[in-house]
Amino acid sequence: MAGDEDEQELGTEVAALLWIALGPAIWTAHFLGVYITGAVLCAKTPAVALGTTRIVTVLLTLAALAMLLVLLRLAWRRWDVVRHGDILHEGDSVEDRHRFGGHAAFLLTGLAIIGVLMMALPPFFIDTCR
Amino acid sequence: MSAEDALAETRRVGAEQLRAVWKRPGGWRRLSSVNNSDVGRWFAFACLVFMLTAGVMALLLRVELATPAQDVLSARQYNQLYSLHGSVMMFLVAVPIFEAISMLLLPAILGARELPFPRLGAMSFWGFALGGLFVIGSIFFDAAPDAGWFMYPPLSTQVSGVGSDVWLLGLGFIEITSIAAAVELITSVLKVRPPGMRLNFIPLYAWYVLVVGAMVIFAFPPLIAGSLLFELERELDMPFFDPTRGGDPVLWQHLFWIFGHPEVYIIFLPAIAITAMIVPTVAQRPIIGYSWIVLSAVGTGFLSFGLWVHHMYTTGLPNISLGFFSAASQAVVIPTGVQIFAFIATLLAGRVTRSTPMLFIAGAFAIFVAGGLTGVMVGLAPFDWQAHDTYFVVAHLHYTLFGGAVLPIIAGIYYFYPLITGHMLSDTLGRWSFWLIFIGFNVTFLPMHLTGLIGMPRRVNAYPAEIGWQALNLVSTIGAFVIAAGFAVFVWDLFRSKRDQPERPRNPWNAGTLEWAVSVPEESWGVRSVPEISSRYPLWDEPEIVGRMDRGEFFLPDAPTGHRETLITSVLDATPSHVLRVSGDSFVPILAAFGLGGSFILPVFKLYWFALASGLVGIAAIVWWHWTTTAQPPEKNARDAGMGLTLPVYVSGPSSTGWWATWITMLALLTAFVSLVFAYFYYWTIWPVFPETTPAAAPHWGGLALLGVAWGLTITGLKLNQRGHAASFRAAFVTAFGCALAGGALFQWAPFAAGMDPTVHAYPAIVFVLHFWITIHAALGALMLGYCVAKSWDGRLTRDYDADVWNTLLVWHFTLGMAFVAAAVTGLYPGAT
Repeated sequence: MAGDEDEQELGTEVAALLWIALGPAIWTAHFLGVYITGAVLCAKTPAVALGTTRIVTVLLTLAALAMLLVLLRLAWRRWDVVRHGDILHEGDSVEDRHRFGGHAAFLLTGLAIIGVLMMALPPFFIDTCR
Repeated sequence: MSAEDALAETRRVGAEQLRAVWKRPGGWRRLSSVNNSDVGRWFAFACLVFMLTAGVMALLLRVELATPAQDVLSARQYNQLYSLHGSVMMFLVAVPIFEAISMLLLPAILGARELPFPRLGAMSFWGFALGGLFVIGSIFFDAAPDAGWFMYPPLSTQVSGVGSDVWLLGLGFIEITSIAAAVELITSVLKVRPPGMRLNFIPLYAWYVLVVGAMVIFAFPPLIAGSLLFELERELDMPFFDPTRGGDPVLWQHLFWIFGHPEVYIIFLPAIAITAMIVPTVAQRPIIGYSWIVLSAVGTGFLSFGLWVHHMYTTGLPNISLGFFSAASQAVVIPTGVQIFAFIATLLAGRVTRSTPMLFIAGAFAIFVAGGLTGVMVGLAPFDWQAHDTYFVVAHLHYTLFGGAVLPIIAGIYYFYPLITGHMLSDTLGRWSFWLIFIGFNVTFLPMHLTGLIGMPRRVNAYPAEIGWQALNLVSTIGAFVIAAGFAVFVWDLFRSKRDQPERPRNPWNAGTLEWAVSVPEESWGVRSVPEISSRYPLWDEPEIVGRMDRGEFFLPDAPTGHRETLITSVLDATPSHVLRVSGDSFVPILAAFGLGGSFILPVFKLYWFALASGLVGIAAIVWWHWTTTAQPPEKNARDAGMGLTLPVYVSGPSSTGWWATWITMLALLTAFVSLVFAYFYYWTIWPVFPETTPAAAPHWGGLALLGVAWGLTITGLKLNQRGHAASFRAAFVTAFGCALAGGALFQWAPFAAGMDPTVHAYPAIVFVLHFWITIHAALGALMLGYCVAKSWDGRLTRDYDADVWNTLLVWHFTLGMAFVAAAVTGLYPGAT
């Protein structure tokens, strides 16, 4: 009683929901990346830990920002606020729901960008592992 | 008979059918009710009782501290009381009150008949009540936990007595029931919305339920994993946290706070969710910044998982780690602040009506903002090094929890009381209660900032008279009794007789959301018919909707087959997909909860065989309830759902709510598994030399291979069944059953076959646990395979009605994935070094 159609529909639905949260998910990956790098290097090779952490942090941050900026652009297009001028998303149509998803994703991606930038700062303010 | 008469007759018959189907059992049989409004009320009442008990504990603590050398409590009693006060308020009040309120209100907010899994909800409540009574009751036997609410080893692993076991097992069980409740609530928000309630119309409360439910799914499992390790250390001497044998107490702190910090937001967000329902009503206008509030709910949900180390600033972790967590702690201020600004903007733009709920909300804002500001202070590592474990932190956490949870929840109770009981609470008593609590709170906790800054540590039961803490402590104690007076007024208002009150108006606050459309006088069907909506505030925008609901003009206005039903819709646009038959009243959830609860509680008293028997009773009860009620083939798979729509009553796979619930549950189990893998690699970072022993290769890889075969046969079985080859399907599943059991057993044996003794060192211990985790999942998978075969033999699992097979396959996907990772980690990694 469950066929390919159901799975496709599910795929679309889950994808659309997860899409909204993709920005914070990238933040999470970046956060874990920089934290684990710093923590492991400080535990295993404290002498060179900080220098390496800085390099890794820069690389991960650039990668995360690149993805987030692409996502921001996609979300902006989906939100389509300039053409519609709609920021309330109170209309009863698939189109309204779609634009609301864009708006929410845009905001969450913006938050993720700020979060990623904040995560990139600590290695440059701290001089030792201890 | 005229057409109008015929219509009236149809409606009358429909109402009678519904009334009969949803009739509540009377007398003592009422306890068998699984209806969300009964269970939700019991749940809320239990939380209230636990809260008052923990409040009395706090008063005793304050009496002890009123003057320097009080002798009201012994040091041991003091330790037990503060440990229980924290544990009870966190685990038995703050988190479950969210589940209680959601169970009570969510169906109404979604215009639904019932949540999708009423028996799961009932089991969750009974498990909570049993575990809660067990944990709280321990205080009367001088057996309560006494190592603080976060149970840090080595103190808690080495203290004598059963206190720590009570905490680990009692609360561990409650955590599992919380996950069960979260599964139900997430599925409800995704699939049980009324037709037309698109993603952009979801009431903010439901958005928060979705986020908080997801947080429970990801936050509680690390603590369950930690509790498993902890109890294995206490009962079986596996040295996970014992540094003399390779363990590390800081690992517990990581696992505890990976749970513990999101938990702060698991407590805070539901209270904000209540605020998000009250604010538009008192402002009499739609919320400003709907998308922004969704942003802050989802954003806070994510960021809250990046904060856990800020509870561990003084453990000696590398400064760089502290820096990352400090940065994340500052970042979370952004989404937290956004929602407060959105509320204030809504209030400014609307015409605010003065009401008791609004009074509590205003007080909550003031107190929460103060707590948030001290949060920014302690989020900075250098400041925290000074303030850590002092009364400054006690003040901070109470400001956030009172402002962020207690006051908004009381506001919510004033606001929703008419909906829950049919009566209004008194405005006069409400004002008294508010001002007593508000003033008492600030008198108690404002001085504590200072008490902490001048050096008073938390958790001491006496202090020298000459040190200068006396006056501040006395003031705090007086304030605590003022808070208690406020709560006394509130509780009196809740329970005083209101029989002389007239029946409440349908929508006393003139709110715009669906929950105020439930039938008055109350009917246990919730709504007469499930509406179709086309706006965010249907009661404001579509004034005729309530009348149409009452006349049964919408969906499911009758119950021709005598089943309890609720409407299931799609995730994004809430288009109707099918009608779900939900299970009815039964004592089985109580038996299941008590059986499973016994398997957690009896080991405290070393009654292992009784615990095993109890657990088997619990599992048997769950199997029985599935066997008799869930996914039963209907007499005809079509139902006139009303409004000219015919919908199926049986679906399987991704469209079914059971499949979603399985998916979410497995996600929680996967998270617990990831926590165990984290523990393995955590040890890798702290040991200078990593042990090189691996589990014996033949049973290790052979076990994995057999599990792989079981997985493959499950897929094959599903396809065979879809093609109508019942006999081959059963043969495949029976073979898979054998492979699952044999594979699990071999995999568990592998470390022992290599001579790895889990009591010698943390390394063999963590390998043992990773293997154990896979083995119990293989057993679960085998149980489900056997269930499918039995149901197929019984003729109730057929080509067309195969939901159980889909759910079994899903469990096997997760099981094989975890087995693969576990086998790679324990079998390959040490060799690689």
